[in-house]
Amino acid sequence: MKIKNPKDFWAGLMFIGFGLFFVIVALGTPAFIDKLWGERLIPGYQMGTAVRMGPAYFPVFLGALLAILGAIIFVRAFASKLGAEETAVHLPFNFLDLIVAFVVFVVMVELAKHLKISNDYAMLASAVVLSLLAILFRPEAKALTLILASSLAFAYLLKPLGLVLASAALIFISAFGGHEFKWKEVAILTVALVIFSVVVFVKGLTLPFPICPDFIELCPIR
Amino acid sequence: MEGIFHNLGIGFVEVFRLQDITLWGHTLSYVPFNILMCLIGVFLGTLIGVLPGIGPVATIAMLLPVTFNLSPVAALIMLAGIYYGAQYGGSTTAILVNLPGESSSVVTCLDGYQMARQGRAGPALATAALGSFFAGCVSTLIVAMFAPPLAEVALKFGPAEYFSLMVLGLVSAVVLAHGSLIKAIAMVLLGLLLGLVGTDVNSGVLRFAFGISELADGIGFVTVAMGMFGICEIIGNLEQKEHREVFTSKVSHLWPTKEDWRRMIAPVLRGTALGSALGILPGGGALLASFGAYTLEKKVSKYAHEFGKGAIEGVAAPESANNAGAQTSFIPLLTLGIPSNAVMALMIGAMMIQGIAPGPQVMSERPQLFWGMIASMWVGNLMLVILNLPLIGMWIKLLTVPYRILYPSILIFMAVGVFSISNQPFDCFLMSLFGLLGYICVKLGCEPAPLILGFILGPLMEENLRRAMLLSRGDPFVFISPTKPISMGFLIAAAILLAIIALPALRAKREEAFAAEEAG
Amino acid sequence: MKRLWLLVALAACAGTAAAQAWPTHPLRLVAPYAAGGPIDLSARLLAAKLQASLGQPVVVENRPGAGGNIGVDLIAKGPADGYSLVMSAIATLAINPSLYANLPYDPLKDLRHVTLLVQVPNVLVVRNDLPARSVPELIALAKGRPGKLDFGSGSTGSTGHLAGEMFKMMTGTFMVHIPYKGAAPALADMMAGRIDLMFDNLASALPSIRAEKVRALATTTLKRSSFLPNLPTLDEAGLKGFDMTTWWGVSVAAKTPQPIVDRLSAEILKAMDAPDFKERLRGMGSEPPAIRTPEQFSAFVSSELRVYSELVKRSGAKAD
Repeated sequence: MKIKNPKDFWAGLMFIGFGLFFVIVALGTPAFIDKLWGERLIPGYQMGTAVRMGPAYFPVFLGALLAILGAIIFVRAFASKLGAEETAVHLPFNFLDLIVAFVVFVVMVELAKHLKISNDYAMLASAVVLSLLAILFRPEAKALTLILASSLAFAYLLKPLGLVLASAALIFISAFGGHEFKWKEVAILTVALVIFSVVVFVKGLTLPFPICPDFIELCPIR
Repeated sequence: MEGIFHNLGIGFVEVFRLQDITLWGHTLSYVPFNILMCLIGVFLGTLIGVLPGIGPVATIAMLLPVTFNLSPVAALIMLAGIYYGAQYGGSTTAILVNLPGESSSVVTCLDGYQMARQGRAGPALATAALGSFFAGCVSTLIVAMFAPPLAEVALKFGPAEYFSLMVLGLVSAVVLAHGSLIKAIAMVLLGLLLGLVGTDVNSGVLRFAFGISELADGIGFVTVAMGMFGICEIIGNLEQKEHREVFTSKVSHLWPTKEDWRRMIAPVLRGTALGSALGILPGGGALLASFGAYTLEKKVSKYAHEFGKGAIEGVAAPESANNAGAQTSFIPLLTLGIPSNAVMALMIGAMMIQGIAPGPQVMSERPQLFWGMIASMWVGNLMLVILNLPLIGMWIKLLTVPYRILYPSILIFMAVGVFSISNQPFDCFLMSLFGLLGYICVKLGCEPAPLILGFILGPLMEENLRRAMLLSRGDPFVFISPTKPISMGFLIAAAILLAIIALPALRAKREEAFAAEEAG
Repeated sequence: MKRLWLLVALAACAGTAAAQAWPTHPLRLVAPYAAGGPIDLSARLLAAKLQASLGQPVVVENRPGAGGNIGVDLIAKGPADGYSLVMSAIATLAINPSLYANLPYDPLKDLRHVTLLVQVPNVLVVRNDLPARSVPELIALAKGRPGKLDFGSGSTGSTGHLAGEMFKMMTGTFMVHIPYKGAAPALADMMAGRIDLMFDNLASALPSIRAEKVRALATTTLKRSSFLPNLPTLDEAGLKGFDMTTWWGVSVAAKTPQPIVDRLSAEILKAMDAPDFKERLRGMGSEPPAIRTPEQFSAFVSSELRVYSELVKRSGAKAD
């Protein structure tokens, strides 16, 4: 068997994965796995009856349908007649990288729990680690990683550091993900966007965002 | 007919009424205050519509305390102006930078953004504004003439009817994609499933939340849309190997050409009709307006092959449908006191705080308020066109800004908007996650638009299905029983549509097979 | 020992000093629901009033999620300095503790309840063509057709749902609960005759009652409502002691200094007594609550907590 359409191959796998995921979470883990595990691994929700449908009814039905469609797409991947150019998958990372990213997040969150510090630090640390990993080992995925990391940095820095610094972080990190990075230009852009955000979002629309970090008492605007 | 003119007369007199107002201790005489409020409303609405993520709901809620000191008419005129102003503004962002801030502008992204990339942002924006204006005028007239009888029609829609309507909507979602049919269906299903995350309406059980309390209320639409459209688009543009600008720098013309005009008329008419009809339904009809109009156009248009690649019909139809729906969704509010969306619920709040109980008696007890508001919608739409058409030149200039300056700006507006929904960082994390999912999906040849529609309709569909089954005590034929002709009609329409979609695809498959045989 | 006393005295002094200076910087008022609902609206009304009387900005912050629990938890676990307030409601203080398996806060121990702001009665409304014209007739109808009548509510575990369960318990009838997403669609389905009755809060049902699109049978409070003075109460109609209202007010973290709580309570009461504010709240169907002091409010919360934990348990409603 030769995979003739990698796009369909991976898309099929993705849909099967999502479908089964929803089915299993809704139904709970099968009995034999529970037995192996020693306790109920995933409890699942009630199925209910057709009259009084339980919370599991709809997702199980849809999830199963999704998995079946995924399987059809998967099988089609071996019988495609489309050209190689149309079917090639151009992803700058592989399946393993996704798992690595997931593990980084889990480890950081558990670490934060262990150290009894806020989960926000775990998210920031994960963003930093993944950005570094991407820059070092996956240069083609730099844009992807840094754009995602920049919005994480903004989100988790906004409350502690205020809008000014969080915006600066977002702009610098995301600009670094682009083709060219000119210090001066990015700095000017930062100043302009920060002024705009403060005036429009905080002063105009009265969004409850801090502007400066809490510890700077002398911040001219609050 | 005469009655209508009389009533609209009352309305226009109210809108243009000159009154004395006191401002900072000074009394000003003969100020056209209501019309001024309308202008402020539509201006604010346009502004927040353009800013992705900041929606009319949050803005109206924040402005409510300000409106307490206004007269009820002025307050409601302004709030309504924010609402439909935001619809205009939302299409601007959708066309220029592929960001749907509202569920209604998702389909505008599909062709509007492609037009912008080809240097035709001007005609796209003009089409959106003019189509919306036309639709706004027509649907305002519909509200004025037929509000009470149409409200009765709205009541005919129960859980079974809504469920069947959603099924029809989902089938039409498949048409949104121009690639593989089966992948589009799979994306719809994935969207439906993602829409189920959060607290189950019927049992109160928390589903697919994995102990994350931020997921208890489900995933926000804005979060998904910003991730799958906005973030995904930025990453895709940055990845282009060669160093070139995203937008064609040569802008051919600002105004639609003669050909454009000719092509947009029928879609605007059809869009207006469909949007007006769907907007009346309080249980999520307006959500379907723009999707439905796009599907309809793609199926009846001579230029079907251009859809998704910058067809002007793909902007004209959904934009008019969307605005028509926005206006007619005032019908259930004004006549029954039933809000069809969060903005309408806020309008009820605003009315109650002003001491007005919304409902059928508003029309007879306070004709100035009722007709004034309707007249203001027409005036407001006119103002929006006058406001927006000159702005087009400015927006086009925006596209000549180098992309390396543009994308951090887009990103920060998205992040602020998403963060502000519930003031927690987790939503931005989710936005990134959906950005990644969207990116992977695009690379695997799966388009995000069907997923978004599934995501919007999923919870509504489940809710209505379960409610219908509860009410019928488990009779599965409730959707096709002769006592429910509307529901049956929708399901038949869905089946026909499915056949229309599936047959060409099957035929193409066969031809492909034959071609391969011959070649082999 | 002496030193300890000194410390305590110093701390007390510092406390009062802080209270006298309070507030020196902006306050935040958390509304634990999405922008636009009645609780959010009254929060914004109150914020505008407090801002004027305290001389510091009061910023309303929406922190929706988990039936309001996330926003309330934020204040319960937050600093007890009097700068963070929350709009706490019957859901987050009285119902959710028994509805949710693991509520992150204790509504009595982690929070100090300052002022009860709004109290809205529920009304029993039925569809226009239902043959029952009074509560006894409705009970007879329900008894004659067990499991045939449908009652709607805004959500599982809402006051409307629990009032229905209470009604079922007290009358020994059986009706089917149909949950909706908010009271408005339920009301619409009742106007169309698809459901038979519901317990809706007065503010949302009043327009339809006045327009005779639905028929009101009784209010759920012990006293008749001034909005519908001719409408009997359920208590009068034979369901002795039936008393359920939807209410919300302002709470702060439990350890907030007493002087600040007193000042805050006084300011809120002042706002509530202002005629314009009173009128706005009346627009939401609320009559000025009889409960005015922080102590009365706390006692009220604990008695409501007892009532609803019993009711939730009996109704079998659950969330996690």
